[in-house]
Amino acid sequence: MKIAVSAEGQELNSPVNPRFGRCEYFVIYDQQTGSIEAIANPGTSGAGGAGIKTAQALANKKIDVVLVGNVGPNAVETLNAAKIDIYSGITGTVQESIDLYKKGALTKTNQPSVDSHFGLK
Amino acid sequence: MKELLIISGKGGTGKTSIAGSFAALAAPVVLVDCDVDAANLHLLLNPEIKEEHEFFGLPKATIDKDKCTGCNLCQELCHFDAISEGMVNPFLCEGCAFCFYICPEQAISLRDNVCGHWFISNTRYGPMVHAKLGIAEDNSGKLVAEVRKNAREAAKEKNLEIIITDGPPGIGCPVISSLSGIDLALIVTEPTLSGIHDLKRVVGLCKHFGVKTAVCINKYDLDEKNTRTIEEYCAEEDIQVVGKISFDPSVTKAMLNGRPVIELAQLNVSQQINAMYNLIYRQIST
Amino acid sequence: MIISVASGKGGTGKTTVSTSLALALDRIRPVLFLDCDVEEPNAHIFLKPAIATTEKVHRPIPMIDYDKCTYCQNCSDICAFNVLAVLEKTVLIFGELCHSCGSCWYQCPEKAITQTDKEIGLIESGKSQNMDFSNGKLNIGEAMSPPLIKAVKAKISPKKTTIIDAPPGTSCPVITSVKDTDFCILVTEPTPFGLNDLKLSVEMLREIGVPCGVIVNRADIGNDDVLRYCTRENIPLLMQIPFDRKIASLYAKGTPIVVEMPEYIEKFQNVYFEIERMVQS
Repeated sequence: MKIAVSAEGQELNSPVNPRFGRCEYFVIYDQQTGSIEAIANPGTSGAGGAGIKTAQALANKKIDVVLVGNVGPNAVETLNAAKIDIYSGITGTVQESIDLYKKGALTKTNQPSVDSHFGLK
Repeated sequence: MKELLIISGKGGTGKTSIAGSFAALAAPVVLVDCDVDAANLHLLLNPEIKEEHEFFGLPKATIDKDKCTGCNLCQELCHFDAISEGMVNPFLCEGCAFCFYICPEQAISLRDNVCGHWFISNTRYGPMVHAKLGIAEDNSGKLVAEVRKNAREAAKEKNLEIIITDGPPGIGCPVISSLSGIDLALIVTEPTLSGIHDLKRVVGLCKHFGVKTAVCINKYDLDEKNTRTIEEYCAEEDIQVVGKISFDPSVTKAMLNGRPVIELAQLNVSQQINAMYNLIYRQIST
Repeated sequence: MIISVASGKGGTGKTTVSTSLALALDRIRPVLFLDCDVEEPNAHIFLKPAIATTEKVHRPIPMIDYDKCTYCQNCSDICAFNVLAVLEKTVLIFGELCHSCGSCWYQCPEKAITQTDKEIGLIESGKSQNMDFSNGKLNIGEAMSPPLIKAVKAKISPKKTTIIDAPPGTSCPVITSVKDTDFCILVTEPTPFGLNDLKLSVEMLREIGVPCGVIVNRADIGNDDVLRYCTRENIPLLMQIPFDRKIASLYAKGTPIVVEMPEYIEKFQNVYFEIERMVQS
């Protein structure tokens, strides 16, 4: 199980980034190996469709679960198609949100939490 | 945080004059001009620019003459007719990069493209975020989004509850970008057949994106029959007419002096705008 | 001759001018009127054309041939607009983001991408008196108007004097509308808003090399700054229309000035002759 968290930095104590397509980094936690890896989000540049590009990058990384602040409709459609579980409304740090996920304290969604263009606002 | 957007579909209905007056009534408030193509709100609010930032659009293609063999493949393939005689017309290039990938000589590169600027300013009514898109530039929707993002940050930082946004005309890309996440869109219309026509199209757009709307009929006494038609249309569509503003040359006079008309407090129009603002304020704050 | 009518600021009387000019010319020569303000087309309210044909306008967006696709992600890598998401065994296409640049279907190594049509709006065509008329109507929710404007402009015929009503502003829809016209009439009003937006339009026209002149509407409501600007910049002043409650009321009812105030027929014809003289010299 690989869990990706939208983050403002590359560390476990980095705050969760409320944006998805335009967030700077994803911190990836591998539940099997316990390893941590951070990737820069390729979606941040570009004129539009950032959420789509980001979702595809996570699918390429074989992510199973994504923890985010907010996520828009195009990203949700792509994540759903990639069979990546979405947990939105996450706040706090990367570590805290991973702990909450492991405890089963988060609720899965398959709906966008914001309109399109949110990350740009 | 509550966001009020003022739009009109049709230009020249008095949207910016009303936005300027609302700024005075709501102060302290965050102000946004999303008409990045032809901004006017600054002419009423006289902002003092504090920060200026570059806005980058998609990089545009440029051809290295030394490497170009004149095969014309790029010209044949460009869907935007942006290439002729070995030159890229930057006003037509949309930054798709097609030519960059297919040039057999790798003679085409992509150059960073500053396509506008956005500003954070101080006004007598609160911080203002505004922008100027370069001439002939695409990407106004993205610049609108950038401006709105910074307005929200300014509101958070200064602990201000309300953002008032002067929107772009039309129903296209920049308007769509202005609408997302808005608490209420006030549509300013006028009692002309063109005004009614455009009102219907912009109401359709707001419905398409699920945005709550209210209508203001500006210069309503110029044609009372058309005003009644607008009121009937709004009743059918279940949209509240929150204000009917008289035609008054003082609005233009105030504009010539670079001030919102509300600052001339004795006028009938000022009272009408004030009453409309109070009604809207109650709606968005509950 | 192709004359475009534009304005930086909306609501200055652009459509009042374009429709009256077209009707004045319709009496003396063959005219084609094209409403390129496809987000908010209004000229039909004034010209009341009998619409004879309606055609849908499409733009191409990619479609995947799954028999050929190897999910190599080349298309999603090269797309500047992030239209395509290539996942395991499926490709998502977000057509509303597509600029129809053609890059993906040309470059797919497996030739697995073909084109399909996305409807973006319609063109209505017909006759208003002797004049040929067409307008574009962008579908609600569609962000990209230039392909529709190009389709409207494809109606231009060298046999007719073409009047183009352009959208307001200075961005891509306006450029698409006024590009390659012989002359652009800028309609403004004598206020700070009018002047500010007039300057932007003049800059824009100079960038793309279209000559222009100015018509000041509601000429007596403001100050002289617009006139001073035109003199300083050497921009011909083609006409001044005073503020007149009768004109405002005609506008409200969708009646062109020249229909109820025939003294304007000759004034608009003279504007045309002056433009003709400037373009030919």
